[in-house]
Amino acid sequence: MILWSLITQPASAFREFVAPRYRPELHYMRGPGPAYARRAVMVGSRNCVVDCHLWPLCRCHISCVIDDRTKPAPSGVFAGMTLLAVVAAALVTAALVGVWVFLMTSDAMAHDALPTAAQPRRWSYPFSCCSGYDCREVADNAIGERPEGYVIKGTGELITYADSRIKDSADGVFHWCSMAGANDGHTICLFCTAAWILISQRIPPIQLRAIMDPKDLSRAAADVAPGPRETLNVWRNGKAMQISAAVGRNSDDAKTASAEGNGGKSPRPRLLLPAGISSRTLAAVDFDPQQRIVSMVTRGFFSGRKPPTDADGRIPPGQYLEQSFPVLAAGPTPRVRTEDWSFTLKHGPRPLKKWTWAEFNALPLSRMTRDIHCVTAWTKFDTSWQGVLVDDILVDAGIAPPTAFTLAHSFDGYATNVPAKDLTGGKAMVALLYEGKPITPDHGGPARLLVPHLYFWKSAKWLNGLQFTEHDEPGFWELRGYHIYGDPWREQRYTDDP
Amino acid sequence: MSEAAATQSPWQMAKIIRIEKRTPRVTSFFFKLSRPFAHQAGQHVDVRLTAPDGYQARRSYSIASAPESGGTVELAIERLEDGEVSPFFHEVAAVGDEIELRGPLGGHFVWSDSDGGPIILVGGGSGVVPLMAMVRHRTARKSSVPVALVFSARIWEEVIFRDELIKLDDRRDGFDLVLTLTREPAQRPDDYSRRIDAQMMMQSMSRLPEPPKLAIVCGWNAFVSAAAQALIDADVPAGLIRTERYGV
Repeated sequence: MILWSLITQPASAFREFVAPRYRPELHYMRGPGPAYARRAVMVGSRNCVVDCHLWPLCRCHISCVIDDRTKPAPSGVFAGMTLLAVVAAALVTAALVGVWVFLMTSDAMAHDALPTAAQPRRWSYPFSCCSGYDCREVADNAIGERPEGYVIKGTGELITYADSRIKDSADGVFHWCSMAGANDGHTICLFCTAAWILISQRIPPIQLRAIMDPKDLSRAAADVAPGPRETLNVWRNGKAMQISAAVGRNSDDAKTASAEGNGGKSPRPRLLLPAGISSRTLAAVDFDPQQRIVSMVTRGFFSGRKPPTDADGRIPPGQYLEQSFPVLAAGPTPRVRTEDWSFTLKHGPRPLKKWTWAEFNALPLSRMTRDIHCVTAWTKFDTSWQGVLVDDILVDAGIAPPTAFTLAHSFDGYATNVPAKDLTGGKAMVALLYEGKPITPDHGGPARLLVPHLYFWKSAKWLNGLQFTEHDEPGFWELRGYHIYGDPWREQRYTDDP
Repeated sequence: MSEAAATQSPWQMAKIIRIEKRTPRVTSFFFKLSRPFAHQAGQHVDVRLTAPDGYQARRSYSIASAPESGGTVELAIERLEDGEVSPFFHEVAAVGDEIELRGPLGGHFVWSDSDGGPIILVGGGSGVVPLMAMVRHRTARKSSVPVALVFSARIWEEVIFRDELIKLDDRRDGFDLVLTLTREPAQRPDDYSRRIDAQMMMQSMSRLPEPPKLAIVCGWNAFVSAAAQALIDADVPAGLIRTERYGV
C-alpha cells in the first residue's frame, strides 16, 4: 500500500502540475527568490500542496494535510528522475511559466478573475498573496493573538509577528489568504491591523517619536537604560485600555540572548509588555484623550464672516455658510450610464427587489428643500432635490424595515451606514434631480442618497443599493476615523466625538 | 499600514514656533504641539479660531511635515482672498501665538513606506502639501520605494517647497520630480509647460520601474477631476486612485 502511494502520489501531483484541473493561472505565484509554482490538489481524499521549483533543479514537493498537520507526503521529489524526464518537464513547465508570466503581468485579467465580493474595498491584495482569489475578509474572532504571534483558529497555525506573511491591512480588519481559498488551507498571507506607536514622554531618546515598525521599537528600546514601569494608554480598534510597560531586562531575556549566541554580552534592554500584547498591535500615547480644553480666544481674530441674521439657528456648530457647492469624494468620479444603472434593496446578502432606471423613475417623485452640512465645515442653505422617498421604495417593495440598520452602497464600492429610522418617515430620499436638473456625475448622479439631517458623507453618491443589516456596520469613512452616526448639531465629526 | 483605524484626537493648544514664507501666496507655520501625536503622511488637522464674541471658524489643513518630525507639525497655508482663516494666518498670526488644533485626522488619503510602491503623486498648487509629507516620510525612512511626483503650479515662483524638492530629485534615489507650469515656460529639462494630461501621466509613470500600485491626487476640485481622468486615460485602474479635493 505504501509502495503504491509512493508511485501514485508523485505521479498524480506531477500530472496536476503539467495538466492542471484547477484554475492554474490563479495559483501560480512568484515567490521570494527563484520562480516556483504552487498549487493545492486533492490526492485521494487528502488536501495536498504541490510546490515546484524551476531553478536550479526542476523538482516538485508534495505535502499533504494529515491530522491537521502538514507532513511531507511519501517522497515526491522528482530530482531523481531520469535526465530526459527532467528536461522534458522543464520544457513543459517553461512553456507554462511563459503563460504564467503573461498572466502575472496582465493586471486587468487578474482583476477580472476576482469575484468582486472577495475584494476589499479601495485596496487590492498583492499578487504575492496569490492575488485576490485566495483572500477574503475574516471575522476578528477567526484570528487569535498570542504573545508570540497570530493564531489562525481554523487551522491552528501560529504566524509569528516577524513572519513575512503578515501584511498590514488597509481597512482595519483582518484579511486572510489561504491555499486554494480553503478554510483549512495553509496561510499565504494574513493582513492585520498594524499600529503605530508613540512612546512615553518619560522614556528619553525615543520620546515623542512615531514608531512605525515594531522592529524599530525594539531597536529604540535597546538603547535605553532600564527604567521604572509606567502606565500607557493604548488604543486598538477604537477600544481603550491601560497597560503597564517599562524598559527593562528580565531573566527570559538572558535566556533568549544566550540562545541567540550573545552569551557573553549582557541582555539588551527592551520594552517589556504584558503577555498577550505585542508591539505590533499596540498604539500607545501617554495622554488622556478625554481631557478636552475650553477654547481660548484667538489673539487678533474677530468674527469677520458672521452668518446673515436669517441664518440664526440654521448653522450647526463649527460650520460656515457656503454659497457654492463643493465636491468631495475619496476617488475618481465614476461615470454611470442610466442604462447600466440599477438599484437593489437587500436584507443582509438576500436581494429583496431590484429596479432599473426606468422602473425606479416610475416610482412617486417627491421634493425636498433642505440645508446640507458637510463635515469639512461648509453648510449650504435651501438645496432643492427631487427623488424617491425611502418610504416609497419600501412601499413598492412591500416591506417594512426588517432591521434597524442599513448600509448604503455605491457603484464605486463606497458604503456608509445609516440607521433605518433616519431614512424613513420622510427624512431621506434617493435623489434623482438637483435644482430641477439631473444630478451631475461629480455630485453623485445619476442617483444619490439624500439624508440632509446628517453630515453629508452619509448621503452616498452614485448609489446602487440599500442593504438592511442586523448590526450597525461602519462604512467607508466610518472605518477611517469619522463618526458612526454624524449628527451636525451634536458636532459628531470624528470617531471620538460624543 | 495604509489606512488608519480611528484614534483619539482631542483639541489641544499648539504654539507657533516658526513662520517661513514658501511662495508669494503660501506660508508655512510650524506648530509645537502641547500634546504630541503620531500622524501618517497625508493626514490633516483641524484648526479652530475663536473670536472675543465666541464666534468660531474651523478649517482643515494638511500636514506638510513627515511623521518622523517629532512633536512639531508644519502647515503650509495658502492665502485665499475671500477666506476667513487663511488671511488671519497671513496677516495676524505671529511666532508665540497659541492656536487651537485637533488631529491627526483622516484615514484614507495616507501613504506610508510600508505600503510599498511604486506610487505616483499628483498635486496641484497647495495640493502638494500632503504629498510633501509623503515625500519627506520616504526620505526620513530612507525608503527605496519609487515615487514620481507630478506637481502643477502656475508659475516657477509658486512652486511650493521648490528647492527642497529639486534637491531630493537630484539625489536620484528613486524619487522623481516632474514639474509642470501652466502659465510659464518650463524651467528644467524634461519638465512641462501645460495642464496635466494623459500623455504627461504616461511619460511620468514611465520613469517608474513598473506601473504604480497607487496614485494619490490632491488639489482644487477641478484639478483633481482632470488629473484623475488623465490617470484613468493613461490606463491606471480607478480603484488605485486616491483623491483629496478642496474648494469648488
